Amino acid sequence: MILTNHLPALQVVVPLLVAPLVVLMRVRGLPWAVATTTSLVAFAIAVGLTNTVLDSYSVTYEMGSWRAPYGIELHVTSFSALLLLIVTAASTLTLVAGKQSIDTEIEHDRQPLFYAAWLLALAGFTGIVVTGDAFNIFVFMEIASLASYVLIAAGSDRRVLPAVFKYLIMGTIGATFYLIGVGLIYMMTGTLNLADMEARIHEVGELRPILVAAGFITLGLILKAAVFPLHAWLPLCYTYAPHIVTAFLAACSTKVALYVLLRFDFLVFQQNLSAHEVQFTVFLMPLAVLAILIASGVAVFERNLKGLLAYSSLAQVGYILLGASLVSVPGLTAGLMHMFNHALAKGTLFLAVACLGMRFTRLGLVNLSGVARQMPWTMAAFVLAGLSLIGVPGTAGFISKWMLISVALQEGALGVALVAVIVVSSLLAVVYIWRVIELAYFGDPTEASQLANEAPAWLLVGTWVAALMNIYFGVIPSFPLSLARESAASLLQHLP
Amino acid sequence: MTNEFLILVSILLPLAGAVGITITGRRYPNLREAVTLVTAASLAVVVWALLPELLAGERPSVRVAEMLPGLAIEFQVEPLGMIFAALASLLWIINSIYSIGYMRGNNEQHQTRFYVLFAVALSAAMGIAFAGNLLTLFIFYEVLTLSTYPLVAHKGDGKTVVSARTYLGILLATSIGLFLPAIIWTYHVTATLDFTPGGILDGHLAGPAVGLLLALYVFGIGKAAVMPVHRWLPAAMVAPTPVSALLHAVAVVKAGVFTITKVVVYIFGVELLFTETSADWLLFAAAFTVIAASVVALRQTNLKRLLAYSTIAQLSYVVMAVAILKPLSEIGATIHIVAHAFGKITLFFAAGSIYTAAKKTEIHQLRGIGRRMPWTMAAFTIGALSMIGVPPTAGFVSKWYILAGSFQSDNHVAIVTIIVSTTLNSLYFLPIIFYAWFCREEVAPVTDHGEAPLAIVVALTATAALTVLLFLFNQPVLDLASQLGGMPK
Amino acid sequence: MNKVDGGTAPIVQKGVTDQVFSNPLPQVLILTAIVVGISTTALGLAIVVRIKESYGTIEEHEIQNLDRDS
Repeated sequence: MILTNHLPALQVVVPLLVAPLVVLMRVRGLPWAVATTTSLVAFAIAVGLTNTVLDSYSVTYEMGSWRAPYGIELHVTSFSALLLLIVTAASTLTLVAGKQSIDTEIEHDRQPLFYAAWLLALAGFTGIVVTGDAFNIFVFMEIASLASYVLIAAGSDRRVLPAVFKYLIMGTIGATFYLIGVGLIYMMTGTLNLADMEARIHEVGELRPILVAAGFITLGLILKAAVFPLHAWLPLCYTYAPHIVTAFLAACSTKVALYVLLRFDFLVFQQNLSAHEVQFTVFLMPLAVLAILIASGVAVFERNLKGLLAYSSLAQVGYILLGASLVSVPGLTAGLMHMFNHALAKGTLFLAVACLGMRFTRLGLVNLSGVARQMPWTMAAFVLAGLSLIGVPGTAGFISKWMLISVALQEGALGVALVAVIVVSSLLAVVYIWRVIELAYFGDPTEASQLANEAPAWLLVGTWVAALMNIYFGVIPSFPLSLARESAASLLQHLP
Repeated sequence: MTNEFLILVSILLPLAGAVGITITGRRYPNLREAVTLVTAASLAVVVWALLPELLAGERPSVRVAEMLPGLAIEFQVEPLGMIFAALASLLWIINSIYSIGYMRGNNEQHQTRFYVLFAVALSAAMGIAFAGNLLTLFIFYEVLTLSTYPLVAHKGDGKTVVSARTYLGILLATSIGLFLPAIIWTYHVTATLDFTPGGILDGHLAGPAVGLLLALYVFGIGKAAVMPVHRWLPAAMVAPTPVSALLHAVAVVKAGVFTITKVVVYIFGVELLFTETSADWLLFAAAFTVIAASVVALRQTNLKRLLAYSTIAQLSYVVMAVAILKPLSEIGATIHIVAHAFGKITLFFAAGSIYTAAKKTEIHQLRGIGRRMPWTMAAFTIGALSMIGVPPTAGFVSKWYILAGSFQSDNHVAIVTIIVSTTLNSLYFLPIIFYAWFCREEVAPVTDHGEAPLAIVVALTATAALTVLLFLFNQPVLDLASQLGGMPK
Repeated sequence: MNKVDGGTAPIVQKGVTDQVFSNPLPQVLILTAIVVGISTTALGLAIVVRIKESYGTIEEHEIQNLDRDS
């Protein structure tokens, strides 16, 4: 069918076009239905693209048939496919499961705007991932960010407003840095197309502006990805956003930023700037280690459940970056596997939180004492996902943890230190996850938890689908593993 | 019924039982207990069906799925694993009978959850017993930790939860912090994790690295309770007695020493450890644990805690015997796994029996109780004698072989340790027996009580009998044990 | 980068083949960035209005005090 030729474009265009239509839908429940269907279509397109990519390594598409590098070129690689699957699956699952949760937190007359923003975010994220043009990335990045600000600001607690305002300021700074970097590269190479850029950098006489550009771009993206120490916006935003929004964003927003970072860095900079690999490692590895240790440590003392999980996410971003900073195919594969596995684990955890959020307005740990008696299925899913986060064998998290430790051991003396970091943070994860589990199962029930009953069916089913996927990909990880390995190989193929 | 099928069934059957128990649950308690007993009996049948092939020299195996690149979940039956599985499946039946008596006699809460988790734990034990490589073993090792945690925390009150936290904390910290890196390091060096007679590390690792890797394994396998990673054992005493019986005889601690033995024999290889001086520390660590734990046991006033420290000491007997690295001592280690299992489960059954009938937990309360509970105390006596190592109990057989191995290698440390610890064992067990049988009751008990419920008495009589039977009919176990691969001739 | 010496607006005319054009791309980039900036500013200001409605103030320290007390 002719339509399949346009899949890369449709991936972005479909949600983008439906979004303004959703604004006009005033019938109750219709915005949700349309948004969910659109998300499902986006997922189907992502699956289609993945199939094509698995056959032929990458798909290119020229927007409006303007030839690259003059026109905007979409370039879908295995790395893109991995992220497309994560983003669209996260969006679809959280939308399908989360209708009641959203209904509780957002009034019906504001819902059309909410779902429109969701679709714009979806379009933005997928746009970032499919495009092969640096400036196009900026545009979609800002579309996604603006839509995310709106989604987060829909939270019912008023503390979300200062939090999202901080995110807006910091996010804009990050995007501006990225833009400055792209501008500098454009000045030196005369092109915005990533592949073309990579070819032209060889001919550039003066490399210093390129280095400066790399610095700006890296910094901007680090901020967007909430890597320590530019992470301050994340915990409060995740805490006070609507629960389903947190589930969606936790699964994909920082990962998309990491995607851009890795793609830019490995595709454009690595092989062209001498010793850039070393600089990349030297700069990013300490940040990753700090993120892992400090964020895990803070999570141990957090008193709000969502805040705890948010800090845990910061540590997990550290793991991904740790794998990537080793600049080797096994290292990068481990990092990318963790992108996938963490999306699974954190998505499930936040969906379980959404279940709890249906029955509790305040999600401080003290409020949840003894809740497992009244909401056993919810907590059981939480336990499963928690085990995946810790990295217990049989769960997806174990696979990436094993790979990270294996890869670290290949680095000699430094590797032993890295293994120690990974082990210590896993033990910290045991502590902060088990705090919640112990309190939920063995704590004295509060008045509120005694009155609660189990979460609504749809939400519970969605949570359990996600939880079971953790187990499935923990025992049969071959599919994401092959995608991750191909992505890593293609990113590093030019490396000497 | 192919062997492969039997292996898979042995792991899946308890899980199926767990489902059955969940379904029958609270509404049909008698049916639920029946499901447990039928599952346990069927498991024993399936496991013991593998025995003839094994004695004939076969080593059936089955490969399930590739989990990580180059690493699969794989099972293989070999003599040590067979012994562990046969032991666990047999004792599960008896433990289930006991549990029924105990849980009902004490009117315990959450009985369904209890039986379900028991079944899952047994499935994990089977997985450990039949694991063909370190990855498979590690997976089921962790499942065992996680499935026994709620059993330890069963009572649910504050003190129990804190102790259960110690239990989980130490076991997970050691397994994730030490055991897992050790496994990955091994894979990194040898590109395989298969249990192979003669070990896989020879030629890949030498010098201090061997000693270091051994340390990571021994202390990472926290379930073997080598000091200082032993604290989870006394902490776990807050569990109901059937759980303690499971922990101390059937599944958890035996999984620990079993794993250490497998690692020593099939990963390092006895030859490698014999020649590498950096591995010599293991003997001393084990010997220290034996003595230290026995000394601490002397000072205990709570019966279960005394039994806990006794277990720590007995487990390190096995580790010490393994560390001697001689065929006779390896055989002694293997038999001790069984002998200690029978003896200790009897002792714990007796402790739980006393608690159920008389609500007594402290040693000084046991004066004259022999008159009221003759069956219980008779069984206790047999179990205690087995711990000390007196004929006609099983403990004598294993101690004999361990001593023989120590003499064979002129290992003075081991010989002295065995003599000293035997003395210490007598010092803390014999007084209890004396008080129970030969003293009058100090204070009349709150309620006039006799023996414990029938199910309990049946169970402890059965295990006491096994303790004596093993002394008399130990040849089959000896035959299996001597087939342990990779022994220097 | 943008204005080329002797260049005219980048519009192709029929029949004319030897024109030198100025580069329109930087202007496109800047315009896009301006639009993005406007949207962001608008959104930011909307959030400020919401903050004022919820907290009664837009001073950071007062907001923090109010949040601490709640």
